[in-house]
Amino acid sequence: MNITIRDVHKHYGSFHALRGIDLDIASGELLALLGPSGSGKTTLLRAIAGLEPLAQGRILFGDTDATGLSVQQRQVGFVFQQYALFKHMTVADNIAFGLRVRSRKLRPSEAAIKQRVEELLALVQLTELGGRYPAQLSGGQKQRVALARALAIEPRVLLLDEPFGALDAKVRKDLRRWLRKLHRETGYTTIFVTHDQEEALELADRVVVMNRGQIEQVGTTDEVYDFPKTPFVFDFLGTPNVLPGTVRDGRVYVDGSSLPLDQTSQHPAGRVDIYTRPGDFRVVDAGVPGIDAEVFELQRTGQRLRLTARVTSGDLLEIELPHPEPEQKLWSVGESIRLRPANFSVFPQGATRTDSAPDPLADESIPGSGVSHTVAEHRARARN
Amino acid sequence: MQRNAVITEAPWVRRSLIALAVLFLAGFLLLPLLSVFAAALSKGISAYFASFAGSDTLSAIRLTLLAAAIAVPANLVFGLSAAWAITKFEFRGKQTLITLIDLPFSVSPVVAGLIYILIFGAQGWAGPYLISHGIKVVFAVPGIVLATIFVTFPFVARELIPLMQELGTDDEQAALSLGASGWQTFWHVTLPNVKWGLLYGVLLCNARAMGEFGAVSVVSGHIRGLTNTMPLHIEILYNDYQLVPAFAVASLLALLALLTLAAKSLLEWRYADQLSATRRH
Repeated sequence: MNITIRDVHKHYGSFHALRGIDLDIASGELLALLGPSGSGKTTLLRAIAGLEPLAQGRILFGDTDATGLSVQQRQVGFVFQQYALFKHMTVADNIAFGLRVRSRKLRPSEAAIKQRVEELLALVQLTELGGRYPAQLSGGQKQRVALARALAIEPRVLLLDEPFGALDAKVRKDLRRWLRKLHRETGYTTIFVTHDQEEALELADRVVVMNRGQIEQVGTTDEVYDFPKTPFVFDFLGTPNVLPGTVRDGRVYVDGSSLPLDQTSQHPAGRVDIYTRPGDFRVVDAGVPGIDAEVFELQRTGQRLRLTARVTSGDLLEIELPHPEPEQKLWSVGESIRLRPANFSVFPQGATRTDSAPDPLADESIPGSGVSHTVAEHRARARN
Repeated sequence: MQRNAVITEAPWVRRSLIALAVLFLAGFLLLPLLSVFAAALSKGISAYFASFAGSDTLSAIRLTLLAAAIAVPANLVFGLSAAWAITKFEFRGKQTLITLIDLPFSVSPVVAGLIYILIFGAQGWAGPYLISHGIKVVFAVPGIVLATIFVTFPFVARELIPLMQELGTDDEQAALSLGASGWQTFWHVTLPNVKWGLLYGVLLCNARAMGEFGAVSVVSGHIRGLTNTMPLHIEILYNDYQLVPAFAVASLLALLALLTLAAKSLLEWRYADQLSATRRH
């Protein structure tokens, strides 16, 4: 079932939780709502379920307007963060609940319910545990019971609120993989909420990045990671290094050096912030264009080499390099190196940062740096 | 078992604390209770049973059971609705409602009784109208029931509000999302979640309903055989120097209270598995 969301607003008192959400969700899609706490992602999920009345806007399930429908009428499978299993019922009774509460006309026979419960228990790999009570289950098992219970009613859409939030790291990874597989097998349109970018990128087909009640960017996992539209998205999907710079004549000047910009797209002019990810840097020879820095700290952790470099302006860059070859000479602290970011994004200065350092390259203050970042968004790739 | 010296007290401290608690309980709770039975049985077992033969006594027992039989179900419904409203909905005046529920705890029972005299008495607001229509509230059974309901009002609600607040609304929302109606959600999800708290509240409510003295005393008028409940009857007997009957009825009242506690323990023991299974982690 495809879902269309149009201009949805939600207020809690004076707090504007959702500010005009427009979103199209394709049938069978696995979609992540990603954002920090208070970004409105859970509110949006609950609004789709019908658990939050809306101040404004419409939600369509397929071609039918679901805005005015009650929770019961929407027939959605909602999995709560704390599972909300019925503690006084066995696992099997929990799963059967949605079928047993149906009106006599729509209710399957007790034998059919039993069979359906058995199928669902098998699907979530809990065949032996139908007679147990929720208190006797582990967190991961509870999560799967909650999922089976939601699937029992053959929902039009499956909604998961922080599905792995309450689990430990190992279980979380297993369950993530399992959920991906389940989604492939069942094909339910699935929307889940998370604040963990890794979880969103690993699991989802598409990611909706939310911030302060608005959608910052919608795209495939590759799109949002490789082409973040706003500093916020860049920031949220990884810890960025931010260097102040200036854009002039198709090049970006940063800390005494300059890098070419991709000429095919538009750039913000003037003072900019250059966003890079720790893994984007390469150490290059002195002749190649790059940023001069000095090794400040060096640390080997397993497969990675973590390097903190100090550029001329004094800013520190966090850099992650692949594990060095055994014969390779490692840099020593204080040594001068030249760094070249293979990928970087350029945003107008101060789009998110308020404490931007003075730009040593800027010989004049260039107007236009206050351009709204949603208009002047840009992603550049340096060519080698 | 090895004990950690850092987190436990010295043995003599532990023993004296336990001894103190036991002594206190024995001196202030057990001994008086036993003395009631001792005094009731002081003239022998036949004198004890003879105390219950009088029609006034029997009618007092009947009235007490009747008042409890009306007040407890009424407060079960009131308490459940109040707790439901307070914990599941957001509305104006919620704090005021919570304070109002506590009112019977903070107001002296005598004042509670006087309130009903003021409203339903012969000189009260609604009294003359009701009396002219042949309805007697004060100095009659309805007044006693009303006073009992008033003083026992908070027990069920007070027990349920914190419990339901802790449980939150996730379970109910889950049930609704699975297609359950409001009533099905209440019956199959909310009620089972709170049944132990509810039972405990009902038992406390019942114990108080049968034992209430002050408020009932004001509205009762002490008409023997008509408006005397057991506690009132005990006082009258005692003031008449009929010590054995007084203590015999008192022992029965105490026995009813003990029975209530026994019922609670029995249920807890009988459903221990379920109780632990339904507890939150």
